[in-house]
Amino acid sequence: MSDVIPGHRRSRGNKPVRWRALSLLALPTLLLLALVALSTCWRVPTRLQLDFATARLAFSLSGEEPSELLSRSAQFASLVVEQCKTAAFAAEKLEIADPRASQTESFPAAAWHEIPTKDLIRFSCNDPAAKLTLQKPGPAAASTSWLGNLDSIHIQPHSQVVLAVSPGREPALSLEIETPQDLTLALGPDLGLRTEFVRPEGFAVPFSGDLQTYRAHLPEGRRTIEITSSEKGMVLIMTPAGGESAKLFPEALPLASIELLEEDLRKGTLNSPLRARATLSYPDYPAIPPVPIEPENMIGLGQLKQARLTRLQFDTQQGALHARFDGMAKHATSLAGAFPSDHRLTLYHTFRYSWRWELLAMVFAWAASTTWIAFEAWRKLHEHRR
Amino acid sequence: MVNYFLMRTDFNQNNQPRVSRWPGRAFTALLLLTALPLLSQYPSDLQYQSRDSNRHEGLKPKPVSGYDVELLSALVAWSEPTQSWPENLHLRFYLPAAQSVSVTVRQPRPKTTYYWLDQVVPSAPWRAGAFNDFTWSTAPVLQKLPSVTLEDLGVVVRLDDKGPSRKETIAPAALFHTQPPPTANGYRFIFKTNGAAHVTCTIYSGANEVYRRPQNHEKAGSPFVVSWDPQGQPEGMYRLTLTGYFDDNTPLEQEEVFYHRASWR
Repeated sequence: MSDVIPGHRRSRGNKPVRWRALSLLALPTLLLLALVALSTCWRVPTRLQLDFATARLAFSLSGEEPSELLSRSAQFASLVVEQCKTAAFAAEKLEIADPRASQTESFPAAAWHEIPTKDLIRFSCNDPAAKLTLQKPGPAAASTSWLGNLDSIHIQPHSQVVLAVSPGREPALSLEIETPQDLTLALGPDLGLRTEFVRPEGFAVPFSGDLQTYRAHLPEGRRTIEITSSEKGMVLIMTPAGGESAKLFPEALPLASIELLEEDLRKGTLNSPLRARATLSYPDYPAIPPVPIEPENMIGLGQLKQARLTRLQFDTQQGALHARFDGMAKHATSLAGAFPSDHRLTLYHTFRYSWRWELLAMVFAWAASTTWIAFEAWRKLHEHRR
Repeated sequence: MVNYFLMRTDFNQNNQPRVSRWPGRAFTALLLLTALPLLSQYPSDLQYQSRDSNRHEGLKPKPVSGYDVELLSALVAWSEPTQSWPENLHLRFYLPAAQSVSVTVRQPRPKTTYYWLDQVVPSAPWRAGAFNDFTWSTAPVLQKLPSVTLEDLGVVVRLDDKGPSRKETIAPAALFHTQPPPTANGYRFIFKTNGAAHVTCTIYSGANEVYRRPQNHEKAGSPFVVSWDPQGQPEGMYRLTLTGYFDDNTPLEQEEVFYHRASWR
């Protein structure tokens, strides 16, 4: 030990060596502490899973090839088509209702006038306000009995799609699609058709007005209607047949972007379209508890990678779209009032909750402790021998 | 900037130094900046903001209205086909009497962008008993929206505006880029309900019905158009009413009062 005289300053003899040794011993710990502190602030792109129910969902699809938006043979009870270009179908019999004959949407038998037509009935929809409504003929317009099947709808990569719930006694699903479409819809034998600003081609109608009501009997074997959209795409508002939660969408849609925002026009504030509490989880780190996000909070997911929309379902009971987002997001934020939360994981989380790092730490601890014990045992044995 | 620092060193009525608000403001600014990536889905130059000190214009996300039925556009039927956006757009309306004017230009059927122009400040006060024009440049916003065309825009000119209500007074407008319409040969009113509804539209001159659109089942959020040809009708005040009921039997009522002016030049 040192030979320091009491009451005097310690000589500088062994002290620097001791302090240096202590500093060197403490340095890794200090460095580790600094790294841990830094890692708690360092956000990293994170794979997320967001389960949500929403009234509106806008997204664009990724990939190189067109994707199918709807499952084949999605059944509908009624269908409104906006931004169509042409519509054509074969009819055995076509009748038009006298709009003056009724104050409601259903017409007495005397109101119907047969239109002599050729085999194929054609309509053109050049007016921007043109709208076609396909429904069951007669007063059952609002029923959910089967009218027809939708054709497959292909969406070009990076083309926008807006899905929105159209509330009502039988909630409908609105699909706004930028990709132009040529659809062939399979129908039942009887078709009711409401046209707004739509011009018949090749036949004259006996009544004036922009809103006309037709009913047609379609020939067996040719019970389809062909609809082409405008160059800017189209809007379909579909009431699913059966009125139950329909599996309309494919298993997974590859995503390039997603938007979950609405704005209250009167207040000028941004709103959340969520209809229930959403749940955010981290599939690569199952030990991290899922984060609940209240329906009034807004969610922003940006700069997506390997992102997909799965479990997309239209819930007619709740009037909401249920979906799961799964993918990497460089931005993952929610906003509660004015307070944003960044939901990406930190570097610390990726170490703390990673089983690989956990295993590595255990191996290291085991190796260090057993090495130290072995070394101590060897040293004591060596001293004993001497 | 000077005023800003003066405010920070100011004293209140009790000669006590005011508490500096800058840390709070800095915190709020920080929060807003942090939230910006979430809120800004459009480039900043396209976002809704004040432009040229005479209007607010830009893109908004799709709005949700709390009203049962909403007037989205009231235009004189007039079409000037164009392949691209002209340099300027002109809006013209007839103001029958001295009234406050509120102009809104918007897309009745928004997709993922939502164009919006309002808070118009005219270069000279609006003139009663005359046509009034407002011109704005398409360069800042509209020319940068390739998916939006002139046909996609709707205009509402509200008079004595107290916000959207069950009874409104409006002035049908014309939207053009070269020549205004010579006459009002037709009007197009675009409405939207926020729930599925059965709607009948009627236009009255005094107590006389001059037009009726039969009842129709309108889907929520899907704009519907009422087109009226006023040929043979005298100039004067007209009343457009929407009546009906929502799917849950809630009554639906809306009234738009407007002045029909035959000649527009």
